[in-house]
Amino acid sequence: MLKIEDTPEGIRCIGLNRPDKRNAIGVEMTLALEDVLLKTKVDSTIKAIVFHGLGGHFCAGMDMKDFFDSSTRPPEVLQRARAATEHWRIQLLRQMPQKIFTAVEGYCLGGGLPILAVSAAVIAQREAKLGLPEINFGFVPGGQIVKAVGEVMSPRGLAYAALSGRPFNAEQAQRWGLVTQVVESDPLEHALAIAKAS
Amino acid sequence: MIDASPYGSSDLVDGVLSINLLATQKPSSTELTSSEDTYGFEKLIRILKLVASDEAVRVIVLLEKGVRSEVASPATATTLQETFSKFAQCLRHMPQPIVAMVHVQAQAKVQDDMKAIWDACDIVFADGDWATLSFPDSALEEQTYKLARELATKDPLALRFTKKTVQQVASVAWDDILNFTTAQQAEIKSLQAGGPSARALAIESFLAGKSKPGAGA
Repeated sequence: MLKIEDTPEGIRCIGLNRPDKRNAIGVEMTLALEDVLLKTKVDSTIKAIVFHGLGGHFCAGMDMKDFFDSSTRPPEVLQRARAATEHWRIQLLRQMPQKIFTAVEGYCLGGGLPILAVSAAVIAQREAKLGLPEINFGFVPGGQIVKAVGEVMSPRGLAYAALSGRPFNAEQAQRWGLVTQVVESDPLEHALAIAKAS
Repeated sequence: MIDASPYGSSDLVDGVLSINLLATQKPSSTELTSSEDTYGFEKLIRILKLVASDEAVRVIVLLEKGVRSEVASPATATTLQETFSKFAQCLRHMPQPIVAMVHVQAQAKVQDDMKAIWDACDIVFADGDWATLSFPDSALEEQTYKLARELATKDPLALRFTKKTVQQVASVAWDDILNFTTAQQAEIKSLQAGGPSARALAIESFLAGKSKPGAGA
C-alpha cells in the first residue's frame, strides 16, 4: 500500500502505492499511513518527508468502495480504519516535526488534499488534476478536509472547488495557493531536490 | 416556492435566479425603481430574504447588466455605505451559492463601492484577474451560466451544506472539527428523512461503475 524509502540524507519518501486504484486511500492504506507517520514522528534520523504517488497519480481521494460498501470488511475493521484516517489527517500530519514536501502528478482529489495542506512545498506536474469532487456524489466534503485545504487555498478557490466539484489544473492550484511550483518533468525529482536543500 | 414570487419568471430558469443590480434601468427584471433612496438595494435586501427560503432557487447569479445611472442617490454617503454593507451581509447569509458575473472594465467608476458586494459572493467570474476565474468579456456570460446551471443540477442540500462548511470551518477549532462534521451529517440526514438521497444514488452508480464523479463526470 505504501512504498517507503529512506535516502542517505535522512529523507523518507512515502509513496502511495495502489496504482490500479489511482492510489485511492482504502482501509489498508489508511492504516499504513497512520503507522508510518507514528513511527516517523519519533525517528530522529528522518529530517524530511516526501509524499508522492506511484503509477502516474498522486491520490484519487478516499476509496469509496472500501468505506461505503460494508460487505468488504468486518464492521470493527472499518471503524478502526475510519479512526486511523481521522488520526493521521487531523492530528499526525500537523504534528510531524519534519518538514513535509509533496510531489503531485495525475489525480489529486478529496482525501489526498490534506497532505498538500501541511506541505512546506507542493510540486505539481503540469497535467495534474486537483479537486474536491464530493459534491458530485451528493456529499458535503468533510469539515476536516475543507479546513485543512482552506489554510493554504484562497477562499474563492476553495468555494469554487467545493461547490462545483470540478477538477482544476496545477497552474490554477498554484494561483489559489495549493501548489508551490508547476513543473514539466517528474515532480518527485524536484520535491526531493528541495527536501535535500531544506 | 414563494406564493407571490417577487421576481419575474424570466429571472428564474432551471433553479438559477438572476439578480441584476442595475435593474433600476431594467424594471422588468426585479422591478426595482430609481425612486429607492439607495439605488434599490433596500428592496433587493427584502427580496433576498424571501429568496433564502425559496427551494426553487438553487443558485443565484448576481450581475450588473445595463448602464449604471448617473443620477446621484438622494441618500447620504453614510446611508449608502451602510446599505451596501447590509446588502453584502445579506448575501453572505444566503443559503444558496452565489455566482457573481463582473464586467470589471465597465466597473471602473464603482469598483470600490461594489467591492464589498462582490466579496460577499461565493464565486466571482470576471473579465479581470482578481476574480475566482477570469474570462474574456465575450465568454463571461456563457461561462457564468454554464457553471450556475451545473451547480443547480447538484443535490440542493449538499450544495447548501457545502457552502456552510466552506464559510464556517475556518472559525472551528481543530479539536472541534470532527464534531462539526458529525453535526452537519446528522442535520443533513434529518432533513433528508423520507426523501430520495442523491448521495445514496451517486454511491450506487459509482460502485456499479456507471459514473466517475471524482473526475467531475
